[in-house]
Parts: sequence; structure tokens; C-alpha cells
Amino acid sequence: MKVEDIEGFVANISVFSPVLPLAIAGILIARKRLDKNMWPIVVMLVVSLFSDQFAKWLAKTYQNNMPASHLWGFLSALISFWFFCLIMPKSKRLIMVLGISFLVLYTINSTFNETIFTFNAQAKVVQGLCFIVMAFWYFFDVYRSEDIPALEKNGIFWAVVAIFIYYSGALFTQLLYTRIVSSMNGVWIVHNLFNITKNLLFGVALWTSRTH
Amino acid sequence: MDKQDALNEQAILIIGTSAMVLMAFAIVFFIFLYQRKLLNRNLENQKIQDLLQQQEVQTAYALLEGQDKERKRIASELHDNLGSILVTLNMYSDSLQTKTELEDIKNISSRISNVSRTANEEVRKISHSLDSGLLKHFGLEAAISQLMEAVEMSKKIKIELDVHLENHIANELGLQIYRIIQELVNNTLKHANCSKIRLELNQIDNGWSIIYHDNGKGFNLTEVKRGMGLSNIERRTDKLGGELKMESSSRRGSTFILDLPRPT
Repeated sequence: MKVEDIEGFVANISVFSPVLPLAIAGILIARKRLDKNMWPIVVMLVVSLFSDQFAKWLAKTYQNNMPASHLWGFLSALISFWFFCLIMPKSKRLIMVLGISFLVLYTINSTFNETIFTFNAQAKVVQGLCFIVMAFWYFFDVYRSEDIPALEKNGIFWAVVAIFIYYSGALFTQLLYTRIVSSMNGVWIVHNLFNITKNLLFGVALWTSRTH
Repeated sequence: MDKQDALNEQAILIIGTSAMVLMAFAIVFFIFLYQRKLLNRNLENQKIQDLLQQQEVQTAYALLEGQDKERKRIASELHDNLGSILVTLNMYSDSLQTKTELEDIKNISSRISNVSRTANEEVRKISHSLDSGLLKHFGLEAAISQLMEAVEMSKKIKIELDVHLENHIANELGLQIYRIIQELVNNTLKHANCSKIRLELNQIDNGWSIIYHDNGKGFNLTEVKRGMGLSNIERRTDKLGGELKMESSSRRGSTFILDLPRPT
């Protein structure tokens, strides 16, 4: 099996990987058992599903799908900052300032620097670093406060792990992208694997955080 | 170039997969470290509970021993002083029955009167010693001293104790006050991470005032979850008809001020 075939297969799974966690979210919403802190995760899954479909359609119709990438980057950052504001209320103001600053700079970058028809690798690297730091901040807070009796049963913890894994993977692929343009297939297989892992962990997060 | 590309792709896949596996291990390791930290905290809390229970048992034994000694002392005084006076009284009474001469009867009656006065004086002295100092508040003051001593020795926390009780405290009230102080100490040992505890217990006009302070890390009064300790303190204070004021900050530690009225 060629790498291109594997890449195509993994890409398809990645595009549809939000479906399972969204199904879990749907069941929880119907039974009114969704934790209110999980709403940003549900929104992110919906946005992820639609932006991937949109990007795929653009690619199939031989159009430049970079605008979808820019939009996904902006929306995923906005939703992630919203999520961290909810789960770290003591640092809410600081996170909001950070979020607004990042989004403004991201928009300026997309307009004047890495325009919307080019891949915004620099912005994605900064975004990746930002959310890796946010995840470490959360982990440090949890470790210090000792508030959670069983970490493996805590949905918010798994959601942050998912964000951490996704942005770590994204950082890895964005750093490599500009160096190994000719070997895009390997890079995107890895990126898609990280995306699938993220969505599966979101499913775990939603299920373990269900209210009783 | 194709061979190079294939090698690059393989390298990327291997590195990417390794990175994922490494991250999975890191997350599992983090969970393990966190659970171990919680376990150590629970063990530490258990040690604190054991220490407080052990100290309470020791206080109970010391109290019983003290009471036992006091009873023996009183029994000895009753036997030695009052006993001999009553024997003398008995002898004079017996002798009175055998006398017929008025002068003799008057003489013995006068002696009986003097001995009775002496007996009365001895009873008054023994009663006074029963009601004074040691036994009056042997329970509460000694129990608090022993509790603080145990904490100072085992937890290396500097204790400043200032207890002034003039009148007798009823057993039930004394026990409630002791339990409140015990909960305060318990909370401090579990959460405050302090180096100093100050306790003032004073008798005021209408009741008692307790001021408890630790120089620990404090807590957020609005955000903290009401654990059993704080709830117990509030409940006991309410039950006694008292007032509880709390002040806490990370810079100044925690202060609890309780005003307990005298029961009517």
C-alpha cells in the first residue's frame, strides 16, 4: 500500500472522526446530562466537522482550500480560549486578554502577512505553542490544587489532554511543513492521526463528564 | 529524489508515531504522579486524625488519673481531719449521756459546741478546695493544653496559648468548646501549612471569647467548599447561641473569632 493511499484513508477517517463524539454529545444533550463546561468542545467538534468537509470540497473542486484552514485556525483558537476561560475561572481575565490579543494578531497576520490563500504556518506554530502552554498551565493548576479526586474520571482533564495532543501534533506538522514540502503525505498522515486522537479523546471527555 | 522522499516520509511517520506514544506515556505518568500525591495527602490526613485521637485518649486518661488523685486527696483529708473531729465529737456525746452534774454537762456541751465549730470549719475548707482551681476547670484547660502540646511536639508548629478561665464551665459546654478548638486545629493541620498557631480563650462579662489564628496560606471564604470541619464549627457555634467571624487571606493566614454566651 502506497503512502498516498494510506494518506487518503487516514484523511477520510480524520474528516469524519468528529461524528462519534458528536453522537455522544447528542445523546447527552437529549438526556440533559451534558456538563455546561463541555459546550465549547461540542461547538469545536461541529466546527471541525464542517470546516473539514468544506476544505475537502474545495480540494475536490480544485480550489484553494487555504481559506478554510485560516477560518478553522481562528475559530478553533476562539473556542479553545472560551473553554479555558470556563475551566480556569480564577485566571479568566488573563485568558481573555491573551485570547483577544492572539485573535487580533492572527487576523492581522492572515490579512497582511500569510494571506488567506497561503498556508499560515507561522500563525499555526504560535497557536500551537499558546495552547500547549495553556494545557500545561491547567495541568499545573490541577496538580497544585488537588481538587479532583479521580483524574481519570474527570471529563475536563481528558478534554485538555485532547487539546494538548492536537496542538502538539499540529505544532509538529507545521514546523515540518515549511521544511519538507515535497513529503507532504507523511506530514498530513501524522496530522490526521493527531486529529483522530483528539476527537476520540473529546468523546471520552464528553462521556466521563456527563452529569447525574 | 524519490528514494529520499520515501525515506523522509518514513522518518516523519516514525517520529510522529513516537511523539504520540511518548505523549501517551507522559499523560499516564502525570495521572500516576497526581494519584500518588493524593494518596500521600490522605495518609498525612490520617496521621493527623490518629494524632488527635491519640491525644484525646491520653487527655482522657490524664483527666481520669487527675480526678482519681484528687478524690484520694479529699478522702484522705476527710478521714484524717474531719474523721478525727467526728470521733472526738462522738466521745463527748457518749460521755454527756453518763454525766448527771449540771456543771459537768455544761462543760461537755461547751466542748461539743467547740468541736462542732471546728468540724464546720473543716467542712468549709474541704468544700472550698473542691470548688477551687484544679478540679474546677481541670478538664477544659488541661485538655486544650495537652492538645496544643501534642501539636507543637509532633508537627513542629509554634503554639501561643493564652487561656483565662475564672469560673466553672459546665461539662457539656466545656466539651463543645473543646470540640470547636479541635476542629480548628484539624483544619489548620490539613490545609493551612502554617508555622504558628495562636489561641486565646478568655472569660468575658457575658460568656467566653475564643480567638484562633494561624499564619498559613489562608483560603477564599466565598469559594471554599464547606467541608465537614467548617460546617461542624458553624453548627456547634449556632447550637451554643454564639457568633462566628472568619477572616482569611494568603498573606495574613486565617483568624476565627467566636463569642459564646453564658447559658441562661
